[in-house]
Amino acid sequence: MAIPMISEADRLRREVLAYVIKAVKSGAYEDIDRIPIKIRPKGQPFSRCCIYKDRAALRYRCMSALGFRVEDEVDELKTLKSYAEDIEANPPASDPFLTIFPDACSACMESQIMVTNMCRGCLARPCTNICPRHAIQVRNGRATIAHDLCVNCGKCAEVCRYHAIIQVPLACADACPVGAIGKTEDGRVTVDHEKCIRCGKCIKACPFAAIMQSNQVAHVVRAIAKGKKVIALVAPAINGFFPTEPGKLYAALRQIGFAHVYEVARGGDDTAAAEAAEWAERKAHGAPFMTTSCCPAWIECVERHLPEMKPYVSDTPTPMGFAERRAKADHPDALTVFIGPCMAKRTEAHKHGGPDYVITAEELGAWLIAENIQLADLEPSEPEVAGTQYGAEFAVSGGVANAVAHYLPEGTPKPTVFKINGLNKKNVALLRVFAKTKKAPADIIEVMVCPGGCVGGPCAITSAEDAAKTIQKRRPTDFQA
Amino acid sequence: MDERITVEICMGTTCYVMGGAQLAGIADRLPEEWKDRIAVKGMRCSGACQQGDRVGRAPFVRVGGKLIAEADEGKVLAAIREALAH
Repeated sequence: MAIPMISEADRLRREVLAYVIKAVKSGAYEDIDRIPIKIRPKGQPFSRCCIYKDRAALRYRCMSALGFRVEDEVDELKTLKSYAEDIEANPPASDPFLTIFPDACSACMESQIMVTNMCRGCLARPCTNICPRHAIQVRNGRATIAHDLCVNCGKCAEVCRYHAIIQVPLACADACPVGAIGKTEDGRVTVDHEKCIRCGKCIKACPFAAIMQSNQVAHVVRAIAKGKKVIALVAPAINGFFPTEPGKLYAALRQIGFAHVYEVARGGDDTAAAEAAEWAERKAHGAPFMTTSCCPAWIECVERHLPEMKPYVSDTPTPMGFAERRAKADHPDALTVFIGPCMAKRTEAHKHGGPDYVITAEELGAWLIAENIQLADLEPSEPEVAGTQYGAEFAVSGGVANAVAHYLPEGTPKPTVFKINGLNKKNVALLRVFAKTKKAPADIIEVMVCPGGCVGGPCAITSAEDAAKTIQKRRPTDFQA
Repeated sequence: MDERITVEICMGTTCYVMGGAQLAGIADRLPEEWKDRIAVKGMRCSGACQQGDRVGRAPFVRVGGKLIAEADEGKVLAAIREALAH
């Protein structure tokens, strides 16, 4: 069993967010300029080449936590305090929300197969036999790979008895499902925002945390501090991330200043009901299949890479879309904040003109740290708008299709389901085949770009498996899976 | 008297968000031969995260009464090994 891991990069990001939130809330903006020194005090261990580079990287991390993109920096001497002051008058950075600090990038070598000096130039030479491109020869007692012929299939690495051949990954580019990651001339990471589907996999993958996102939590904290009425739209995945019942988390949200709490699970119920009706109608008109529409990174993937898939994607608004509509109808004077584990929801909100802000589970976690809230001590409180367990399970792979099946009109035959549980280069190609041949192995293709579903999102707090278990434990006895 | 060594994982919010969430399932990952000598449980916030000025010291875990800062799987297992040796 794999041990669920949290990396030092995750911890650092959360720590920075917690300090930034604390300073923004209290108005002690000058504290933000001290964060790099607070985290890397002199004489203490550091992680990069020297303490000064650590501090420089932390400064940019603070900048992105405040809602700015590193690329937008004009004056390197501009203080973090002055960025914090800019929050009052300026909205957070807009799409694309990815931001790169190139000097943090280690300029890793391209993904490739490499023969290490463990190679003994053996007699058997399975590597030379298995290579489909005849790219390996043994010279001077050691296997050598002709890199112009090698296609990185990795077969030689599998057969070597000495584990002498290794596949050297390029973490960010290998994680990207759509080939949006490139390199500058000096080998540093670049992201092609025309190709990028906003999934955030590269952020989690980069071992140097050179790829970051511009956050929005500082703007939300300020809005609440200024007395604005702010509504929390809580994604179902969030209720898998904290060691408490949902009611305690809602109590915490009220304590930190949200006026109302809406479960996006209710939006999930709305989406499922509408998508069920849509499928029944499409099927009556002879549609070969339909894909779900709730995952915004999937929608970006279709827009940017699979235009032929467009006719088969459901037109139904997402759970966030329904929740936003409901909240704004109930409270036209309020600001709405979606809280979820997803990067791409920011882009969805940007395109649809709402919710006003999107913050992540990590940003919420850091906020609770900043306010020193002990969830266990709170009296649970009810959300203004609650969803069913079917809506709540939108967060878990399989849950969307299950909810759609649940809401089908009486007498409609149960659709068959094919799940994409985590998008990668291979299944993008497969989906392209479905669209081009107008044929798929099932009626409904449920696409979740993150492995495990939203619970496996790039800004999650626990492992996808643990979060899914937590959510599924709440199933009522009459729940149909 | 129960002579098992207690491993208390802090379930306070700070510890949980800073990595305690990933330690919560450690009981299932202990070596077989340790299982009846170790009792893993959650603990309430000990307040340790509020001392000093860095939340980066979280998560905290207490093994046989001894508090471990910046706890991870390796540190906790090492502390258990040491406690078992005594």
